[in-house]
Amino acid sequence: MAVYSIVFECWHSNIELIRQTKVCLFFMPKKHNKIKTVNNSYMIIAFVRTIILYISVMLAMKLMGKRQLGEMQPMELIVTIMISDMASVPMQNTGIPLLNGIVPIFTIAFLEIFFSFLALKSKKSKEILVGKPSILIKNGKVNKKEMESLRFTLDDLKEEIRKKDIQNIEDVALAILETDGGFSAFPKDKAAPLTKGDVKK
Amino acid sequence: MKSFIISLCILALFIFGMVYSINLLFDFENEMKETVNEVREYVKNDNWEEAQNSTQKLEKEWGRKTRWLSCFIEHEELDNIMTTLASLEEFTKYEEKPELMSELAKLEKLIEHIPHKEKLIPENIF
Repeated sequence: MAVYSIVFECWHSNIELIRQTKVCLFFMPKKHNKIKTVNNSYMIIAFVRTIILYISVMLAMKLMGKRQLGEMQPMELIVTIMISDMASVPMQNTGIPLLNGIVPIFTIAFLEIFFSFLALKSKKSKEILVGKPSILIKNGKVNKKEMESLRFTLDDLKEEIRKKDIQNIEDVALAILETDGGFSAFPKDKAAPLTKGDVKK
Repeated sequence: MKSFIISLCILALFIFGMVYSINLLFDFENEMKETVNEVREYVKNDNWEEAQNSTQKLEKEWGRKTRWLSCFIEHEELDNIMTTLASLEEFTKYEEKPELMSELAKLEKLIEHIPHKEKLIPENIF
């Protein structure tokens, strides 16, 4: 219905048309039979295709659930980029069938939902799919092996610690590199700031 | 869980659509090839009137099919067939046997190519 109203609107407002292509409107009501075919242009087709693809992407993203961009797992970020890329190709090229964009979008959405569902149900599969958080510092001691495997330099580590308001590595009780790339650090008691609980004691 | 079921349903719908469309494509290929062979036979026997009728039939058949074919086939391929069909009609009209035969062979290849491209085979996947 929306498609019909857009085309009908354009026909009425006598838009200067680029190409004189005739397009059949199968969904047109009988009372408008006299305009069974309308002159159409590339612009209108691109416009309608964009609306359809936008709705498809919106549906796919809704199905996948809401997550803020910063909290995304690397795979989720890739999926989002892939979906946007898939939608843009048939949007720009009217020679490609719309289904060539819609089918991969929903297939990726399904795979994403399936794997997140699997990760939710089994801890083992979560470890495989999402990975495990890495402990970089424990009781002030740097885990060099883990740092090497993550290609994390000592300078990077110091920088992250400073961001958490801790000056020295020795003052860190626990520093973890989370699966989404975030960094968590907990200071030792002697370096921790005073809390209300401490005052009450 | 709800989103998982919805996405599963959508995927099932797509798979059903894919299987159905591939079957339709093979039917289309057979129907079109049959008519192409018919035209070829008439031309071989210099039966130009019948050849012209068959060409028109081919064009009508094509007109009916393109409506749904354009939903999942690249429009460029359909345009190629449409152009070949247009030249086919003219060659039949002016009784140009060699050109007509070459156009028929071209058309046959173009028709064969459509379902072949959609087949689930390693060549198409990689």
